[in-house]
Amino acid sequence: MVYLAGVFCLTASIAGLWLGMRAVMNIGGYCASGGPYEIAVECPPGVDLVIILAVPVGILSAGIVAWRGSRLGRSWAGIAGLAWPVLFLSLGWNFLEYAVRPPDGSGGLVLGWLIPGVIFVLMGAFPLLILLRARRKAALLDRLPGPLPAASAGDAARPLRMARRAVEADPAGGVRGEVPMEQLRAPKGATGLTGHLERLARLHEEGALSADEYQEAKRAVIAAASRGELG
Amino acid sequence: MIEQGTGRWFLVSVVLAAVAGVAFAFWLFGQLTG
Repeated sequence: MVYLAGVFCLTASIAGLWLGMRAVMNIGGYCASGGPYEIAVECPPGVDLVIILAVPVGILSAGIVAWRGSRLGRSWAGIAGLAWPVLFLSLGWNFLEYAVRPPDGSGGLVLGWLIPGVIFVLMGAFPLLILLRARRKAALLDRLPGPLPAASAGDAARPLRMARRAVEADPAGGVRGEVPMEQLRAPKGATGLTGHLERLARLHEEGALSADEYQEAKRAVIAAASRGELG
Repeated sequence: MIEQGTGRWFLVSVVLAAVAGVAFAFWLFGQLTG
């Protein structure tokens, strides 16, 4: 429940900032209210309060989402990490939209808003790409068996360990496309040497094992079979 | 940790909470600035 309240407050804060920014941009991009000085552009009523509140509430609720989410599971905690790209991409959108269509109707491209727009979009997009790449890697690793026994020359778990290494080294290219867990496990009734060799051949075809790794793993499996170590 | 079956409903709750947050922000902004 606390987690859901955190998500609620987080999205409300980002939306509040987004709306507040647009309201300020509508009157030229800057404003002030209160204080002893003469004010050139008065802020629309309530906007200053929304922006002042949205920042600390947003940071606090992102912390709550990460904290409570870590108890629920890694991906739930990761939702807090999405707040950064969502914030910068949405505010970047404001800049880009107003750069192309300025509110004063003057037409043309407003460079002063185009540049921050591009910077904001880049600041939001790069972490998002890194986040998606890390997620893809985690998903591929989840498909492989859990902790494997320590390496020993020619043991039966070696091909799977090699596949895991290949994914860790290059999640995008190590295993091309989706490789269901069933393909990595020996098929039912085909255990023993034949099953292991078939599985290795499949990994090799999928690109998870290079030609050298395939040959090495094949030799290891045959050696393990000759010692009677294969299940 | 959340189980597979419960996870789907929890995900729906998270999405609803997020949408409600955005809707609340729009409503509050309308009230404060309107």
